[in-house]
Amino acid sequence: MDLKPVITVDNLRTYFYNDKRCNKVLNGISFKLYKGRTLCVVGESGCGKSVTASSIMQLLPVLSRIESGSITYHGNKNDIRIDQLERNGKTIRKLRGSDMAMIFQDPMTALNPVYTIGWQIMENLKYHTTLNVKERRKKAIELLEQMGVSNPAKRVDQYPHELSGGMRQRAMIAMAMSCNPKVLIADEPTTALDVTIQAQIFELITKLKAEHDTAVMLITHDMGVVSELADDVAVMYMGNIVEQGPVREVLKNPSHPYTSALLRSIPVLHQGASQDLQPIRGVTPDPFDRPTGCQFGPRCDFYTEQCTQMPDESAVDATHSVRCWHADACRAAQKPVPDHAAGQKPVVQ
Amino acid sequence: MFTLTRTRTRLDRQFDRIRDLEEAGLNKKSNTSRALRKLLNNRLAMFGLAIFLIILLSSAFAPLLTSYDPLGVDMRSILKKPSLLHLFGTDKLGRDVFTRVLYGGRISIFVGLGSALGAAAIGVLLGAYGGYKGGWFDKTVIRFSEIFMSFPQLILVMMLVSIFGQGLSNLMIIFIITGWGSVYRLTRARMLSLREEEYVQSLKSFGLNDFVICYKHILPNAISPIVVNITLSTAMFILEESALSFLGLGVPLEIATWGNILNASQDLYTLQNTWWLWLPVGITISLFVMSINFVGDGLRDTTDPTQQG
Amino acid sequence: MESNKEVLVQLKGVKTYFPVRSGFFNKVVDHVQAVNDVDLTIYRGETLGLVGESGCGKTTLGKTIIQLVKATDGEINYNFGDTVGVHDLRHVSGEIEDLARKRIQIVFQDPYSSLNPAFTIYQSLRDPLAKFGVKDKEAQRNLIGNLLEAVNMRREYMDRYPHEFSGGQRQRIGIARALCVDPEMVVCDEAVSALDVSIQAQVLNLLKDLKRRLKLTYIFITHNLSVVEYISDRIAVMYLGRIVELAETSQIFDHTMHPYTEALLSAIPVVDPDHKTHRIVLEGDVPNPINPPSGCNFHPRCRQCMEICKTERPTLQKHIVDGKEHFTACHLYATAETRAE
Repeated sequence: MDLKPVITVDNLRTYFYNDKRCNKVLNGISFKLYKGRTLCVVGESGCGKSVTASSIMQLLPVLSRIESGSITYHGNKNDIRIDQLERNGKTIRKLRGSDMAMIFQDPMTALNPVYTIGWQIMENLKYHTTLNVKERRKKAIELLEQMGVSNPAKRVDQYPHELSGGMRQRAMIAMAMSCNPKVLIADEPTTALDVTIQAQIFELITKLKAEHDTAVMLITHDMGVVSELADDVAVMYMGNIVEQGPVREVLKNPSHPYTSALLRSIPVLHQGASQDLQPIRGVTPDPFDRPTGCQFGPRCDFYTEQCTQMPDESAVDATHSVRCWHADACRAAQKPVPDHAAGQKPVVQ
Repeated sequence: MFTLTRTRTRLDRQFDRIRDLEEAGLNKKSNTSRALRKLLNNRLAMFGLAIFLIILLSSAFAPLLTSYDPLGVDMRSILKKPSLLHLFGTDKLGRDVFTRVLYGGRISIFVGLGSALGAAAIGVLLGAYGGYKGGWFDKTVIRFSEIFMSFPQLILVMMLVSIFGQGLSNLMIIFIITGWGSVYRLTRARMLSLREEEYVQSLKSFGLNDFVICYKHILPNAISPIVVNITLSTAMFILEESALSFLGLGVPLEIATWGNILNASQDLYTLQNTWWLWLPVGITISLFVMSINFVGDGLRDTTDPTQQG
Repeated sequence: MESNKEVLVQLKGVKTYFPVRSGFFNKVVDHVQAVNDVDLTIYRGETLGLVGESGCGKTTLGKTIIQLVKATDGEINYNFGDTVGVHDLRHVSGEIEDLARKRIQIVFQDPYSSLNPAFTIYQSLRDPLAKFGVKDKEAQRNLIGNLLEAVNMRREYMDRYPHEFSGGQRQRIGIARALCVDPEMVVCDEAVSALDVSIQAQVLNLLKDLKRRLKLTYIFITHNLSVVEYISDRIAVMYLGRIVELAETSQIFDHTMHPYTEALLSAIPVVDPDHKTHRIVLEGDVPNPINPPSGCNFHPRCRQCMEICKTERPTLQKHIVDGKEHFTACHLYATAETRAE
């Protein structure tokens, strides 16, 4: 395979220090972003998927720190260790916006309401290119046109509040794509949008990825999005990547109990009211009071003594890996497991 | 274990300590509230609180700290310099300045705190309902608040003094009617956002009385910025009392207040030659107001999640 | 729907407009037509799914039915049963109004803003219970305890504050609160949308289970079609304040009629790597509800737009498809023909 990695994350640990407590948000995650491929990071809120993105972009809050592990950006000339850079220093600021770009969940708050969208796109071009004012404006209009914004010559002078949600998200993508980044990180880019608009944005991201050979990292909680958009998928739970591999492999052949339980708990379109939804029992643990060993242990049907140790990554096949002692058993048991949800009690009123 | 090449900062050391404790399983869920802990860790706020309490308590227990009468004239010891007998010296009528500062504190603090609470009561009462309900009531009250806030205080004071004469209660009434506007606006703004919360909608869907929803269910959620506002306006009113009394428009001269003590040193001769008449009381006012502001800022910071505490 | 079903609520020409104010004197310059001319019948014991994109008026319609928002025009007739009879909720007061508050309740979207952070669960439920006759403290606590158990939580939780609960638990408390007055009908306004996927299933199953045990009627408002398909008996699809299609769930999915519904269904990502939908990507955005397009609201984005669509507004027509009732508002099916597939 001639896949070229653009970013390599190796055994990354990021801890947050709030309120005199230490929250081990990322607890040793490793993955690679490849040129021209989309990696979907999927997981529930609080599992660390957004922190993964901000670790790569060095956009972590003040009260947090990368403890160990490495994030390497494979640039044109040499490799850059992003985790070693000075926070908000010159190098990372040069990388951000030109080599790596990010789009956010809510385009209303991610765009500055007091400047026109054209101004905001041109601002990025100003710092990362040598274009002059006229060329920058031309480029901004061009970018908006590429993003499928109708009447770009007019839109370029409009303020964010004059645009609809879908248009704003396109403007933000235009800003992100303005310097042809090698890595595009999208943090839930369509969660705030309607499904018909979401379809438009996905089509755009897919098109851009193909045209520019960009490595895309898409953060989402929607398994449907994963299935439609991803080449690879990484499933996260409580700060670990519990399973990763090509999307078909993972969805068809889930090897971690969490992945398979997650897939069984979501309603699938066109399967009607007869489908048997099986909620995952229990709740996600308090991040300050984590179970020892495998984080999914207390909610898992395959739990044994062994699970008090966090298993290492083991390969299912060449590209598909999982962190579970009982991956084989889990794969073998692709049949419904008994519902352990709290017992039904009669209502007394 | 920690392999960073960049320079280590104080924050890093703090992080290491927290992490080590966490790994040893020593960090337990704290029982005291986070806000309280942050306030206790705020050195400036604690310093402020200490000064505040010292001044407040020594005013309250003035008779234990001094044996003089704040109004007792002693013609034998006029304009004495500070000594062990008279800590802050004596004034033109031979009254002990230290005693007058202590007793004056009682009135000044009473005026400041009383006016702030009175203004807050009116402001919260009107602001909570206006913000929740909107409509003509809200529109009328907000216009009224604008009128009161735009009225020059000095002219209002002179007007009322000329009508009712000087007096403690008059001064407080003036402070309240010129001061309720800011609390009103603050409360109203909080209510405007809180009334959109879904629990409010739920209470409405039960058809509960508007007053119950507004004052009983929503208001407790708006209280913390109001408390901060009360502390800061207490400081402001104390300063205003001093200023007005210095001009002779505030509390009648026969009552000792911090402003009235300053009033005695209006002429250049006093300023130049008898510094003990105005310096100690000036410092007391400044310290007290500053300490309240420290406490107020500390209270405000407790709601800021971006600080380690 | 079989004809022996008992009608619970009947909406006739319901309109909900919000004034748009502007200028120095705050004059009403225009109206947001959030809900426009909606006719809808809800039968006792069914779950009606109300779907559409943001701004289509589905939430406003739900809040109009429960009287959190006042309708501008139309009738909302609620069947209170034999002794009390049918009343228009827009014009009730006194006892009947209180009865309506008791019969219809609502579950909200956001588990974080739907509980009062300053009160324990017991404290925030005390006032509503007292209003509806449960004044004794012991009786109140007993009832809240039973409700919490009904939503699979522990009785003791009633003395805890909301911040001590997770999102899924809060949502279950929200459901318990709606049930505390023993309602007949519950409006679920995006009740699972803000929850994590693994928690959604818990809440959905709970709602299904409660419906069966308490014989509830649900209006289930959501933008998530997979969820609505799982829980609803009938589905109404809304676009710009109007219902464009209304039929039984399987009818909507198997015999989609309206082009908008078709596009909506095709736009949803499906969790199945083998599933390759032919996606119909709609051009443009949802138009502004202050000034909706002439004729059919959907015509500027419709692939099958005809001349008549630009001028004449289609009404919701009854068709018989595959032997079942199927309402749609579209000129493609101009005559009330029977379509068999």
